[in-house]
Amino acid sequence: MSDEETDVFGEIERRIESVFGEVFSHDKEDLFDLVSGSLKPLDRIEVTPGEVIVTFDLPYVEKKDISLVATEETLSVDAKMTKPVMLRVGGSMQKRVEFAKYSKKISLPTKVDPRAGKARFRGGILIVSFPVVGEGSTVVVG
Amino acid sequence: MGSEPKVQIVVEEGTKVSNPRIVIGIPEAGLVGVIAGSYMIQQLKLQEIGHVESELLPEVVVVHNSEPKSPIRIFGSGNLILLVSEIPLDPGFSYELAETLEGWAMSKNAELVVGVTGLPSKNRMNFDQNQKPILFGVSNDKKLRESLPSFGVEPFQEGVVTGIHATLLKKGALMNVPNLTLLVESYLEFPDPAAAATSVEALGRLLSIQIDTKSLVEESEGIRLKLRGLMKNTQESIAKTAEAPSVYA
Repeated sequence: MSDEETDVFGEIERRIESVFGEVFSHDKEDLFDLVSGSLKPLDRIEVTPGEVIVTFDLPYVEKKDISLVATEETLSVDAKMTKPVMLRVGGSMQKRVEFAKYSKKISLPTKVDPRAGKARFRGGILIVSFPVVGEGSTVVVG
Repeated sequence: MGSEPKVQIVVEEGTKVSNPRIVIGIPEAGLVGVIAGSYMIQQLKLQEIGHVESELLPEVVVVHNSEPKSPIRIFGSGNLILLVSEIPLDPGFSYELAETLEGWAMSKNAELVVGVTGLPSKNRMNFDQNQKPILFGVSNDKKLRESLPSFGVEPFQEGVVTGIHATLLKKGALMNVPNLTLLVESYLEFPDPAAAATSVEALGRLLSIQIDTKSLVEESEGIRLKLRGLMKNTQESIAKTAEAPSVYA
């Protein structure tokens, strides 16, 4: 499947980048940072009553190469890839660009306790969870 | 005087389609259907034989080697037909497409229509070589339902199916076309080639087709990267059309 001429997924990548990169809402800045030469990983954010859970998709990454930095309101992930990859960027005037790392900073939907964060990594999927910081204090009516 | 149908199945002149078995892959949870369909097209060397035409589709074509390409294309060989969409479908178009597809399937005396999709699972991260995702099946055909376990597919006992797969099952029942929806546990918002591989293996058994999924699993990471753009658009589509995926188990 590595032969580009017969690579059906490479063809889909080319067509999607061609159409959506130029025409639709998908903004290439959502997926690439061409200034730093890094990929922005796909992510999913869930909020439960007690937790914020952020999941990242990190193909070609090993656990030892992941760096996570959290504040009460943000989470940053940086990860070096095991090998550089060539991906298409540029809409109808595409070029193939080499990327060797991921980098993304996200704003969390609610304040969390960054010191109590937990992370699991398996099969290229990174799940990071934080307890939500309680807001306000109980006031007793005397 | 009738109005022009909103969706048309356009097959190249001279292509004969008779008693087809039709497999459908649409961008949804884990892009399972698109990955499975595209992989089968490549491995089985299916030829492009047509496309879907519709006023409801965005007015865009991609030109490749001077040839305009529709985003929803049809491939086939013998009586195996694969329809793969490279754009997420909004609910209005999904309904029209499902109805048109079932009507076309009925006109061709289709043996079976199979929709392939992901079933988002919170447990997905724990799957590996030793614990593969579970594959469920929903069918409007009693005999097919009863035979599912023999193909390694668990009958979907309780839950809700919405969207295009619901319409395919309903319209198929009305038009007497056997339909099956295959749902494999997957990630919701990340491309999931491993889950797609499970569905391809099941399709091989169901349709008596030899197809090796080894390269799909081996190339999984590369595929996940190549399909990020499509997944991003699908995520946005999922967020716009529903709070949750189209299948609940």
